[in-house]
Amino acid sequence: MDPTRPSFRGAFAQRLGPRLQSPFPGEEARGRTLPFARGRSFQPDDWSSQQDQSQQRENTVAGLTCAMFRGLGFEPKAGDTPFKAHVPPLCRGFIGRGMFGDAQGDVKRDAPIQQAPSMVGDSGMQRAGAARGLSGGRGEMAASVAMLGRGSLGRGRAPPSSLSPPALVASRGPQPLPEIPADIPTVEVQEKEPLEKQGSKGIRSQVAVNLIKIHCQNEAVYQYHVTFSPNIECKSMRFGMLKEHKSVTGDVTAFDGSILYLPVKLEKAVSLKCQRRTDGSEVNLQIQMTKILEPNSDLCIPFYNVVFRRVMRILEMKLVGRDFFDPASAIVLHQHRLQIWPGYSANIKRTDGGLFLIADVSHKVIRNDSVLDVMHAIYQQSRQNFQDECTKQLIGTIIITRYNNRTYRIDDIDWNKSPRHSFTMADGTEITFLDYYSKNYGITIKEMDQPLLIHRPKIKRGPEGQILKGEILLLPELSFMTGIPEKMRKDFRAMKDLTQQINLGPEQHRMTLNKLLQRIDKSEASCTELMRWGLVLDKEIIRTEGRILPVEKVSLNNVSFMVSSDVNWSREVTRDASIHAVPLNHWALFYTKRCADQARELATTLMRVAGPIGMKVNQPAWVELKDDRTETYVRNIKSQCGAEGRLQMVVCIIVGDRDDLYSAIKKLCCVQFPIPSQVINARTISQSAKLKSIAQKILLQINCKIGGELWRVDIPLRSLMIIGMDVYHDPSRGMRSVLGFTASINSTLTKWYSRVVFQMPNQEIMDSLKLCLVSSLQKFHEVNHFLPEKIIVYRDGVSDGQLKTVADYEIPQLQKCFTTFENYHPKMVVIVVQKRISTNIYSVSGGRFETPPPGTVIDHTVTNRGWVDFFLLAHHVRQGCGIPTHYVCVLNTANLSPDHMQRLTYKLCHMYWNWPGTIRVPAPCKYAHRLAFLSGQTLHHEPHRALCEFLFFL
Amino acid sequence: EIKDMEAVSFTPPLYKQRYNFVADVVNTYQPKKVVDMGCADCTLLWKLKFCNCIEVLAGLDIDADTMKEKIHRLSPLPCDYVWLRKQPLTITLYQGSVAEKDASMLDFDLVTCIELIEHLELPVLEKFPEVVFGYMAPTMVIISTPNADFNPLLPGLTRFRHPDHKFEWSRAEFQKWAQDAACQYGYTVEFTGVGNGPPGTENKGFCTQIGVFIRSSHKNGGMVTTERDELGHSYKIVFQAVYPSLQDKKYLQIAVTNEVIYRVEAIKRSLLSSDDAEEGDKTASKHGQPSDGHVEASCTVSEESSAEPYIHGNSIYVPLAKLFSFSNLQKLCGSLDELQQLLSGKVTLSSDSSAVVSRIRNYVSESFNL
Repeated sequence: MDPTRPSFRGAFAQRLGPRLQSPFPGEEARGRTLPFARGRSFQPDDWSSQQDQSQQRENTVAGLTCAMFRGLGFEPKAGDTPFKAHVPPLCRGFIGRGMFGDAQGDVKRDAPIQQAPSMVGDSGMQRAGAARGLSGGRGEMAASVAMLGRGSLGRGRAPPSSLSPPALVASRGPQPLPEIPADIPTVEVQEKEPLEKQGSKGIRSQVAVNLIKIHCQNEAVYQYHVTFSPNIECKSMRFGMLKEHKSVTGDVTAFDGSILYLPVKLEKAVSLKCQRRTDGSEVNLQIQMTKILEPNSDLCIPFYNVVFRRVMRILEMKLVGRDFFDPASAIVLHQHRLQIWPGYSANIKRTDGGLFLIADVSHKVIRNDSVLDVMHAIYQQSRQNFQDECTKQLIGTIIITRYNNRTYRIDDIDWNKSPRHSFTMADGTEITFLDYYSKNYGITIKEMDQPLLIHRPKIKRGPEGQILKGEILLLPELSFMTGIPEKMRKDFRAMKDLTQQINLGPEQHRMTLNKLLQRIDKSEASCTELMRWGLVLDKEIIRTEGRILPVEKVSLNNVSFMVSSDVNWSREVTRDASIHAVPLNHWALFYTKRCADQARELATTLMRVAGPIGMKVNQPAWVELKDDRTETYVRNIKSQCGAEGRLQMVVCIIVGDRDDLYSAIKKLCCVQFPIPSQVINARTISQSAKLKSIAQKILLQINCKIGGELWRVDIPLRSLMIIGMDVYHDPSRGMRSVLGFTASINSTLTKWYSRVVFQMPNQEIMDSLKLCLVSSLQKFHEVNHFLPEKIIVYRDGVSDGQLKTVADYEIPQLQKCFTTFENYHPKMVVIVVQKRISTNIYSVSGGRFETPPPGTVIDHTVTNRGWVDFFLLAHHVRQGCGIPTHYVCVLNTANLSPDHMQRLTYKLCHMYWNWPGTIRVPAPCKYAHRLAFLSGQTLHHEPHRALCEFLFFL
Repeated sequence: EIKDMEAVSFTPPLYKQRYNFVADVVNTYQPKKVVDMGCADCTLLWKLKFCNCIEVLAGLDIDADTMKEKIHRLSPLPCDYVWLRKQPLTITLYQGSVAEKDASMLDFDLVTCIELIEHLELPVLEKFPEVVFGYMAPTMVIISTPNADFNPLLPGLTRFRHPDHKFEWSRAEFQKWAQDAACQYGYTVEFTGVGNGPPGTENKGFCTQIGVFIRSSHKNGGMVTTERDELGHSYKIVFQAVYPSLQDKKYLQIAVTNEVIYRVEAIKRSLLSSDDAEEGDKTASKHGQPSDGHVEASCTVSEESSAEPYIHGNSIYVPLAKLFSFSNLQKLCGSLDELQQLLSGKVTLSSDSSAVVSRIRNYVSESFNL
């Protein structure tokens, strides 16, 4: 159940004028509270005449604020307000579109209000001034900054009740009553100094982003605290009691058990009475206003999202996981026994540009088969290791249950249980699975001998530490698989069928998104639902301005060139010498007899293409294997490694899709005998026409693996270390995760030092991170004889919710490492890299939406309000839409400018040697990813330390 | 509505016992059309939607807001589009008063009024039997209401169990009212209940008393359609959900196509694998000849030799008759003609539409994958 759980009901007309239809004759009260609602910069004289005695404190603050305002050069200005004479300036326009007439009415009716500060404009300058004034003026500022956690200027003033309201938001539900402010609540000023995040380099270009502007038509949202005395523990009873007083609160409410949000203003404090059903005793309900929020306040966003979910339901979209789908319009791919549900991911967020609906096109793949069907199919194919095979294929997959709308991850399979087993229900009674499904859902289980699937939710503990939610057991027969089957992923043809349906181009995106907006617009019920909170959606996604970063210059050993528009330099890199080519003198080639010809041909070609690259390739040690069993490969590699002490490289040719063989070879060469290795599928080199280009790629990769360097991009920053980090989560091993860590150790950023750390769930990531950082710095010193002055960290695998943890906890810990070295105080920049985002960029050209060119960056409007961040699309988009990567700077003691940050990032996207072009993320991140993936997926072990300085994981 | 109070003393909670009682009745009598009058937040309707026999499910309440509270629970689940119902199901919610007649309430098999009557004002209660028994005249009616005889056993209860109750009847009062109504409109009624008191209080009866009414006479044949329309519709539809089912041609077609392709692929695999085993005579003997030794070996049923799959050129032909021999396709389609009709446009059929044609891919190159 949703914590905010608002029950919004009522007619369209009611929202139009909360003031007009407010059941309270509260004009006078409104007059008094208005000053607080309308902003913080007032004329001192007018202001003080309005004060209650209890607000003397506010008075001085306001005076101060205003003085500062003047100091900053702002004079009271009426702007375009219709009542100029008595209108002082204000810092925050509180009345939005269409509310003016209403406000004017107030003024006419209510004499005192004429002296009250009024509302105009929304100037950023004024806002900034106000924020500054406030931060200078208020004693609570320190607390406020700590609470909101960013910047020396802070976000604005803390409410009089100090820290309690945010704490309330963080832990919802019935809890000890916070200190309620005695004075009349004041408006929450959320504005703060806008962060400097906009760069200027590059060519301006018209872009569109999949965000839809939301206009807030209500003037405010009012936050109240609801107190029950005697206290009521039961949440649903609290909901029920508040609901009884619909006539007071109105139909439109958002209530979480103690905090109530209304689009209307109630009298100063409301006292109501209820009867407790259980014993008939009387309960007092106190509704006390705590804050007046701007309608686009962060606090409103959770229940706006609840409202939007309702809208999607009205449109008959089904919520699965977090996205909305339309199963009635499913595309059925009979050949592959699956169907694709078209849909949307959509949620409301507040960005630098205001309140937006972020809507993305989404698809859900649902298999026509139940898990039981899949198990039957597995049984048909491999009876001997049926259970192992099931474990391999099923664990980690997401299923959806037939009888309710839940999705679960399969974490395990209980082979000892069957539907005949019983479990304990919430009320303590025992029931078999058979009876349970038959009684509750009218489902007759057909297969009695199926095992049960286990889902292990995150452990939730009750007040006494008891586990609240244990394992969840599910029936294979009643569970449907979702997602693309692993087997299908490997089938090129099948994937083509699928991606045709799923990867839509920019114009298709635009059409699909517009369709959603039109559906909402045409549905009266949907619009009404939104309008209850005064929300109105724009008719189209926003268009704004982006930039295309300057083209970069790539340098090989002797030649440099500007990157062409298709950002691909495969021709140059195979034609001209690499920066550093390591001679391949001692290497061994392992192959079976069946592939002898291919092996010979490969070796010859490798030697032939080596010249232009600048490499010298000797004849390999030829090792022909008598069969293709894993043991044969392993035994021969072992003996070869032992015999040939100077062996630089192991190259194996294998036939077919042999995961076991591949991982055996990798384990041997990465963990036991540290030698770079290359495993080549015979199929890849089977076509002689393509052999040359494939051999070139293989050779370049070999060069990287044995310590060569391919190309570089000029990076003007000196004494610099770039670090990349990524985490791999192992689905089958109890969510053990693997951290990949790479750090540059030379000035041209062409030498990388890498480490891998395995960690168990809930284990502290910090200790291992520190270890990685210290050893990289030691290595850097060893190579350069000094320590880097600047360290720039690109951290992948951090969600929005974890940003603060990284900034407040992880980074300070990391910085402690520097004390290991004497008198060492480097500057540090930490940039979080987010690939899985729902923001798409389209370039607009001649009214059409197209995929944006590589280097497109957006650093305003759609960006996050709390951080310096930007969206950069670095790669060349071949299919589908341009999904940029989101970079969030969480630390910047080096004072890198936005331009520096953006360009550095883009440059690093050119540096991944496995691809002669740009990639989606900076190269160190991709290296860290490859490393973590190899270690987690194949090696299950930390690689040998001797390989730390090689890109052996490519 | 009175969940809170009664949960104190009953396991499972009394409201669940009432709903289970209705569900049991439904499973026993298998009504196709059920309406719940005074459906409140639609919890009973939600429970009943899992009863497979029901094809039309309706709810009526005076308060549209309460009905809408958890309305989404009545919409089809995402999986209802994958695992299709055999029978159709339409759920409709009406806003209106039980004192008024509405033609959409006609022809129901079962009407349930769970904890409804005690909320009715006297004038409404007076009209209620005429509307339900006289006008709607379903085969069966279930009416539940608090048993006032039981009230002394409920701790702390002062007057009624809920502030909105207009009355709470003793067993004698309820039975008299019920008998009168039954008598007047040609029903028989039996009394039962849910919620047993503690041992020794059996003389107080059940906490909730229930009357089950069964129509004894055939009502005067029903009205003519025009007559009904004249009666008009006083209720307002607030919600309607039509569940996807195999009765809908669109979904039937999907289900049939899916099954056919699955069978064809299986047949193709077994045909080709047996071909691999006997490489050599494959192309020589096969042209146009539907049946020979190893093809038969790969098929389970071969009553009629002309119904066997065969390979022609680069395609495999699976006769519809062969497909129709699988029991689940028989169940889905009913007849061979129906199968043919459903498949047209969905899969490639032979020129005479007697067989499904599927191209054989070049398996050699495909098996040699990464």
